[in-house]
Amino acid sequence: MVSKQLMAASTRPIILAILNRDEDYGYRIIRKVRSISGGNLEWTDGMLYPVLQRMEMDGLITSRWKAAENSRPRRYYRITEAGRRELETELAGWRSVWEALSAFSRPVLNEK
Amino acid sequence: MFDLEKAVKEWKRELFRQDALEEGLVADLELQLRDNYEEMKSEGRSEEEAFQAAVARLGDPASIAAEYGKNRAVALDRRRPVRPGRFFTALGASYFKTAWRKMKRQKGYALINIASLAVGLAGALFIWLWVHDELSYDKFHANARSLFRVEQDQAGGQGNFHVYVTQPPMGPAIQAAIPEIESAVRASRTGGLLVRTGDKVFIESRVQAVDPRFLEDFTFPLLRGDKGTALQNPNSILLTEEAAAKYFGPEDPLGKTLVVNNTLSLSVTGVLEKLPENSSIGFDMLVPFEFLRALGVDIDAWGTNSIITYVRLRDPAAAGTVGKKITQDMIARFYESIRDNPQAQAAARNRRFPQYMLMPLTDIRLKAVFGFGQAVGTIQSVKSFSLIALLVLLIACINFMNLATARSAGRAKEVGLRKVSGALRSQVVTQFYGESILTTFLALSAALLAVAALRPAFNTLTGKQISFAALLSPSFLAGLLAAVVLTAVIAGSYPSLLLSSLRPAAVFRSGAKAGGRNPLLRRALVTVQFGMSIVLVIVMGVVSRQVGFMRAKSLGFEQERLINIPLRGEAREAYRALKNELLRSPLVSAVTGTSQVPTFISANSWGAQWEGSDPENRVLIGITVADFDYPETLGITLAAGRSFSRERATDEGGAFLVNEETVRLMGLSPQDAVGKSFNFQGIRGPIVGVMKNYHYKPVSNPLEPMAVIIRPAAVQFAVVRLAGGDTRAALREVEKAWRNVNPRYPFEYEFFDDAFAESYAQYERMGKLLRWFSVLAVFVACLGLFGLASFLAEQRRREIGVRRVLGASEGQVVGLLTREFAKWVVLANLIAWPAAYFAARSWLRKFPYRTDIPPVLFVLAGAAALAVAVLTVSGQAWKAARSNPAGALKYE
Repeated sequence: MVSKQLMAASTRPIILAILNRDEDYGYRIIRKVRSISGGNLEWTDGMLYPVLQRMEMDGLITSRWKAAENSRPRRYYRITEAGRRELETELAGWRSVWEALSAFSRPVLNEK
Repeated sequence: MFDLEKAVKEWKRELFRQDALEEGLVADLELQLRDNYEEMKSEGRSEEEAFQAAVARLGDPASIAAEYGKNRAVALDRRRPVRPGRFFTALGASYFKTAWRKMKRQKGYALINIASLAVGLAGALFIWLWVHDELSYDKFHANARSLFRVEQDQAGGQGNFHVYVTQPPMGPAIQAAIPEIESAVRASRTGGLLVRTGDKVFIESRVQAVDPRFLEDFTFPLLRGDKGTALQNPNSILLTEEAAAKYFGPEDPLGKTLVVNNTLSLSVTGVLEKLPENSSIGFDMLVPFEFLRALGVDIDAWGTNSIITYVRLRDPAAAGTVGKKITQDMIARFYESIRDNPQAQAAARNRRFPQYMLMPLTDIRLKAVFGFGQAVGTIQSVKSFSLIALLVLLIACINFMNLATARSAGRAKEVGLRKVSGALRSQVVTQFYGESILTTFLALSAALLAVAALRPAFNTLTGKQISFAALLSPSFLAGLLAAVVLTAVIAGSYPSLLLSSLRPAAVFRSGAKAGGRNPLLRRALVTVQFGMSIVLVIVMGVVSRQVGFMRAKSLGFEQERLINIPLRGEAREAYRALKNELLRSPLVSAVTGTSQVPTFISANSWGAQWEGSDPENRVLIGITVADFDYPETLGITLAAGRSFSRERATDEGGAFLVNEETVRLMGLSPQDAVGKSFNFQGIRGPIVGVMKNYHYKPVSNPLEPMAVIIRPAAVQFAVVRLAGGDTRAALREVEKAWRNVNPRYPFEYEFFDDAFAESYAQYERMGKLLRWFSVLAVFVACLGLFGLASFLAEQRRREIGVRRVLGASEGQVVGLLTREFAKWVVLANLIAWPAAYFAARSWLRKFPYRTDIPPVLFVLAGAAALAVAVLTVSGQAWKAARSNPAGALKYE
């Protein structure tokens, strides 16, 4: 399981990463996260929507309603240019964190 | 059977309970729910189970709503601030409408507010008119800035004695000797002249003898005649418009002849425009200075200071230097005059010479000083009245603030609504200042109307001739505008800044009573204005007490039934005949005479010597030149010695009666002084008696050393004591005697007590003025209190209702409300008393004989203020107490 703090910090970059591949709607975003993490990243569904709203306010993503044939209309989210730049910054940040974390976690003997 | 749609509907209703969740957001969540539901069902759960699981996965609605709430706060935060223009015309109309409606709805408050400000403004305007008039004296002369009056400080044992008369020959002498002086003009009152043309005869007491340059240096324009030559001929005379009309009616007076004192013919060479009221130089007629010779005045004598010398300087800044140069010139002249007299030179070695200085013409009215530092200028009144005007205005402002603040509670919602609709704080501030300015201007209009209407009454009260035009001068209007805006800003500040700072949410949630939040401040304001009113009342009390004191003070002689008859021209020679004629009548009990107005003997001189006196110590002693029977006729009592007697040959012009002050100055007891040899005014003789001190001038002047000498030939005023009984019959007797002796002169007389009383008129006027302003201040303070009390009673309606329901009597409620204000008025007293004491004491200080300041006056003023306050408040309190409590409580 992932800690609450880490969840909070990672939600936005993950959403950006998903949307960077293709536009998508809320339910599917949640499903993708759940399946890819094998259930380790478990979001409370309802909490995703305020985050999406906030990201849209911040201009990282945009949304539009799309009527699918023989299905309910869905709100599709799409990443913006600002969102891509944000994603890159986030990735660089996460990488540095990951490198630092893994470097310090290696056995000490190997250092010499 | 599970109904999905019904379950979703109920779930949605649950969501909508959350404030933050709006339609669109719920739609997002609903889609998620339905997708979840289908997923669960496809995993093989029953419909109901699937729905429950889907709901669970969605999470707690409250925390979702909280998340959305955060977003909304951020959105609000980020909203681009609205920057509306500074002032929308449409909003201006709305402000105006609001203000107008407010006034209409609360007529009482509006009336009190405008009335108290108007009354305050009117009072301040009147005082301003008065002060402005005082300050404008003598400024109308084109050369006003370069004109000065020569004054001098005479040094002596009692200190410096300041006079503004000079030696008659001084003017031409200093003009010739001191280059800074462009011209010197002498002026002297001629004393009353009998002036006749045909059958028209008048006594003219306002005649000035002046040097020819007078008309050029001073700006008294001529309607007829030529100012360059009008005064060249010693037998010329100029009249003011009014005087010309009096003698010649519509005829052209130029070239006509006026006969003075039945013997001297003068030709009219000019007519002057009506003199401005604000001139300290006053006259109805002008004659050439040289004409004084014809009246028997020695205008070449250096030995007396009797006329006024004005100088016009090339550079006004040189005034200080010129004063010193005059002093040096006078000293040089003195030594020149005794060059051949070694004895006089020896005597003069330690002499302290008078110091001359120049008084700007425009300062004379305000700052003139006479004698041993007695201020005769009006600057003190100008200052105190200006202060009073400020106080009155301040009180009015305080009321305005107080009422506006009190009423502000009712307007908090209005402000809230304006702010919610997008008004900025600055706009609310503007609105309230605007309202304040509107009210102030309404009040100003009312005040101007009041001033216009009451101006004649004010002129009567102050003895001035102030025209309404003084209110319309551009500089005054500009000043007024500034004052009004300032008043409006000060008065409007508190409510404006307070109300605009309210947070709308707080106002709507709790219906905040902004006005109720600062009772201390508002009560302090009420205290201040009552304090000011009390100060005014006490000072007024002291002024009228002082006038009463001066009127009632024992003068040291019997002033009743004593008249003074001026002897003009050749009537002087008939004095002895008149006296004999009068003494034959049983209605006249005594007759004497003096050389000066007997109710104002101002002649004095340095240089008295007596047995054992210190020759270095120069003293100033008054001189009364009188006829025999002077002490007897006036009823002056003797402390020692005897009075003058015709039996003793040397008593006429060879003996002295002195008053107790003189004896004190000599350092002797009255008994020891009698018989001492005295040398004064060229007379060497014994002191035959010592008179108890008596007032030879109105009581507003100090009593100084005085010596009486007998010289019947110098008498210019007959003093007659009427016998008791019918005064009118006695006066007829006196007039009959006058006609027998002086058929060519009209009979004039003045009662001693009238003359004295008249000299207190200025203080009486001041007392009256103060009385009006005190009434005004109290009235304004009460209006303010009334407004505040009615407001507070209104605010406490519910509390009063509850008290009444729980059994409080009407009296108890009234007591409760009244006590609260009474407390503050009592505090106002405590503050006002010391202030009033100091103000009254400093005013009294200018009187040599002054009343005490009785504590009871303070108590009375305080009690009166308290009574008025209680009366004002209790009326409102009664109304509140008597109203049906059900009405107040049902409201809840």
